Amino acid sequence: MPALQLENVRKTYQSGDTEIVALDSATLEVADDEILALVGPSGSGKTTLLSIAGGLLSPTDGAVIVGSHDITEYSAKQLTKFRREEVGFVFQTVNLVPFLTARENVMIAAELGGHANEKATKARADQLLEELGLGRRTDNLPSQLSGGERQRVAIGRALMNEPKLILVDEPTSALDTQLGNQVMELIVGEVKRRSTAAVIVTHDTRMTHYADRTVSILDGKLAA
Amino acid sequence: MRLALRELRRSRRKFVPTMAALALLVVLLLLLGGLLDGLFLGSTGALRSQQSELAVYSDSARDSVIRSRIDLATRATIEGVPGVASTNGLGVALVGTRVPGETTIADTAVIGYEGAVNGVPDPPPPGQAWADRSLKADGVSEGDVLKVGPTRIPVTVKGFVSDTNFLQQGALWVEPDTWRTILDQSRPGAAVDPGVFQTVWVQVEPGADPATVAKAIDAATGTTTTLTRQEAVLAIPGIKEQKSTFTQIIGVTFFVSGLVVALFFALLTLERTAMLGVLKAVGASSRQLVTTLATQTVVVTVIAYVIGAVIAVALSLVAPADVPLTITASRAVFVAVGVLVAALVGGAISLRRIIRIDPASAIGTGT
Repeated sequence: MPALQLENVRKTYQSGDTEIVALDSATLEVADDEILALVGPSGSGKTTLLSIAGGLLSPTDGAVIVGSHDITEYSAKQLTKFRREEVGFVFQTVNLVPFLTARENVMIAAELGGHANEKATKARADQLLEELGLGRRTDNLPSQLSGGERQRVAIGRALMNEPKLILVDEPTSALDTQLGNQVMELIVGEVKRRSTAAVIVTHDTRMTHYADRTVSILDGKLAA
Repeated sequence: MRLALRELRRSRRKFVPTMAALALLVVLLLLLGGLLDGLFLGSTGALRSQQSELAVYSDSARDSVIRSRIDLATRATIEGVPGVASTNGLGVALVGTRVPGETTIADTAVIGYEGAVNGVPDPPPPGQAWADRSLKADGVSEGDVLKVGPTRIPVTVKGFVSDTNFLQQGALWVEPDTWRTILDQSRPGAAVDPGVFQTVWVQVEPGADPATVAKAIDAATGTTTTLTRQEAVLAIPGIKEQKSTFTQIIGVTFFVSGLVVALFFALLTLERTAMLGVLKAVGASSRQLVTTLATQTVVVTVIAYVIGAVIAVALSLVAPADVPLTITASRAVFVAVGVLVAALVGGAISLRRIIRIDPASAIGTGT
């Protein structure tokens, strides 16, 4: 089963009397262990696509299926639960919660779910952090971590609920080439190791070789 | 809720200024309330202690105990009104009293009465008095022979009673003839004949409606105004004015408390909009984030209240004895509930902003 299917997805916004088309009849399929790079210039619609795939935005038209979930008609409440349980996000700016430790940041989605076994959740968070090379930093606050360590915690947070799909937003936009490569290697390595699918949005074509496939987007339209 | 408590614990410095401001407002509220209560209790004890439901004043007195006179004939008419079970005469003389061993003159209210009231036993023998406990601050002790009024009438303190003062003057409860003598010699122009009182307090028969009986009394005498006990208390000069003035100041202080919390949480919400967007993106519901806000509001307010209450009580303990400051349990509860409600209303200003935070803002649409 594909990790993500978009069928003729269209997203429009109204600006006064003008209709702005952010995404135009986008059809895309991402296999369950595939890493897809979505490249395009600023304003091309790539982040809109990522937001729709992650249940952050609802499409104006078309169908969005993530794993076995057709989220096209999901309510806001259903989308909240979906985001908590079915997808993982790695944001452009690391955006960790500043007053939570590395472990608590990784556990946040599970804790928000409210019904997780705390002991098991904690053990999984510790294991993830160990795998990410942060075994000794579990109780550190983000302010006590380096930029790279924070990035790894954010990746841990995305992987915590064992999602079938990871959505990564511009992971290298603020980094130099060397650091960008390190971050991409880390993300791709972790995603591959878990045989998870990922969509990585980037405008940096130097990073596309990390992906299994690259799709371009321009003016809201996808091109292979 | 865990999220809220963790932030409070680990980012406590962020909350300290608001907590401190709220604590100071709590101190202000408790001291203002304490002064209001102290003034009220110290002025009204003599009337609040009455067990009877109604107080009868002469028409011309305009609801003043001091100006009122009820003669024997009027009292007989009152006692003949259906629904009247019994009556008790009451009179007050405001006089200076010399306390043995003290150089300053104590302000006292000599109260003549006929039967036991709440907290005050039956009248003592002539020349003796039950003294209000507040007079201890003026050096009064049991067994002291006080010299009352300009002619220094000797009155022996038989014992002490509590919360019975009148117009901030320490009460000396005496039998009616002792009161008449003191009134006669201290205010010759205000002297009353034997049997005459300033007011008469009416106990209504069981099942009788006090309001109906009050109207019947005034109709029967044609020369009286009958008030309920509560009305009589509020008719004491200055009480209504004090109450409304303090109530307005207290109201404004509650408003400021709400404003402090509103501004703080509005700024906090603004500052962490991006973080709240991320939390929503990873699956936090608006309800969970609102609960976080409410929890923090309650915790900040409760801690501020405890600090403020401790400071206010400490200040009340070191306040000079002549400052009418009384922090009652009911006032403490009122301030606690009031501050909490004001804080929650203030915090609720940020609700809309939190609910409207778009989870998509964590990514930033449009690129």
